Amino acid sequence: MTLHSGALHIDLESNVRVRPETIGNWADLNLSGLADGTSRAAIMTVGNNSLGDAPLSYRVQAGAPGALGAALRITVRRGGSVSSGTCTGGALIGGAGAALNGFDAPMDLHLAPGQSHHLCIQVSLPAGSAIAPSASSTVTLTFPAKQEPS
Amino acid sequence: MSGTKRVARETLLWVGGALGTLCLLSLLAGWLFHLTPLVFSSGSMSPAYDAGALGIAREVPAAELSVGDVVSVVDAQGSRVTHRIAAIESDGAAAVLTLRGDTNDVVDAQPYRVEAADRVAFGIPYAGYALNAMASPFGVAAALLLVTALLLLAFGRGHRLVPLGLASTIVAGAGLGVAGVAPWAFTSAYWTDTARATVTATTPAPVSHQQPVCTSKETNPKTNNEEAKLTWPGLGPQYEFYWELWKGTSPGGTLEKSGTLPPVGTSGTVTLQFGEIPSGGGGNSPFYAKVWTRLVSDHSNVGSPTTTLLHSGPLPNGPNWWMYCGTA
Repeated sequence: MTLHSGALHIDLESNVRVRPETIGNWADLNLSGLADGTSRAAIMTVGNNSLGDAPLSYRVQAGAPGALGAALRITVRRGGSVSSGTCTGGALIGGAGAALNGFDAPMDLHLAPGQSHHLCIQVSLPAGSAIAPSASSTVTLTFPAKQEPS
Repeated sequence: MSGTKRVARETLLWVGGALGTLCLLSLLAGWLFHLTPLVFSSGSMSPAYDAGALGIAREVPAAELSVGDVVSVVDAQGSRVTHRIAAIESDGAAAVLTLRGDTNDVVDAQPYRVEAADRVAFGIPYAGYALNAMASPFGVAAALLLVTALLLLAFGRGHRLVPLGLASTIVAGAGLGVAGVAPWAFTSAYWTDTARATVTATTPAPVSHQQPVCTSKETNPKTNNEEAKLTWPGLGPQYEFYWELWKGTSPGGTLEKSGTLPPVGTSGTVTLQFGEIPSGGGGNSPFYAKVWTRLVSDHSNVGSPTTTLLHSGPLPNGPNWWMYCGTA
């Protein structure tokens, strides 16, 4: 049995050991003016900058309140790429076009210290959603991490 | 054997025997009093119990647990986790525990339902490192060598007076160690961390319909199916259309009719038709139609209405009238 001392740090984008970490308005994913039947996508980098030998597992969770939030759908692909507002390729995490509000899926691989994953995150508003114009909802993407045995 | 050597040999054997006895007694105490020594393999309970600390835990029923206690439970994957109780909810004879490591910002994702739990009473810093070393292959090998040496000392030529109990204790301790029945457990006090990103999602700003295209169905000679037809592109399921038909010259006159048209998709066309006017509706009179775009969600108007000029014409052989586009 290995006894570990150190600290666990899961970081987004280029952040290093930021705690607590919240990217207030993730600029890469522009969800303004999202019309029915359209989608947007961007790449989120998730890294393990832990101190010490601390591999981690993590989940991808998403939430968004209101009628717009209830209508939004999400697709997450580890290692996927963005193509015309959609994510293609890579490993599908948690199902394609899942309801965004309440989305909670475990990542299929652990992250070793120093490693990172590139997650393609696609958010779409299905055709016929009939959400009122100028509706707004704050989409929150949460990445809870847990130390795993090395 | 000289007196000094004999004293050294007896001392070694007595110390070994005492340690073995302690080991067995701790094992026995664990069984009798539900005590579990815990070696912390990670450090989320630092500084109270850092990685490598040895904690002594005693099993207590769920009813005796309270917020702030450090407890050791088994998670869904079968791994032992030791964290502090952040919240507790009674569930009959059991309790649902929400745990959190002292250095973690968030509680454990998994709640734990327990009828009893090992509550940590105190800890000994670094003692876990020693136990961990003893449990390693190197430690087991070193212990075997030590036991062999002690046995040789005990049962070597001329040493048969060494108490048999001490030797038995040493052998029993070694046997337990080799069998892997260590009287302690390793526990994870795993770390957690969370990162978040937020994005504001919005739908497009409201839009209103285009100026309608008016098409008269006017035949010569007049038939009984003349009409004025207003058309414009649909705006999607969010929008409906409220209309009014006024007799007179815009913006005045008398309201003749009104109604609401349902939403039409962006690839479709909205149609509003005005045909026969009942007797008395007025012949050769000016009319106009106003159309508002409205939100389906709250029926509020979007922007200003459009106005389309119309006029009425006589119906052949009858008192009624038809509607046509434009002015007379």
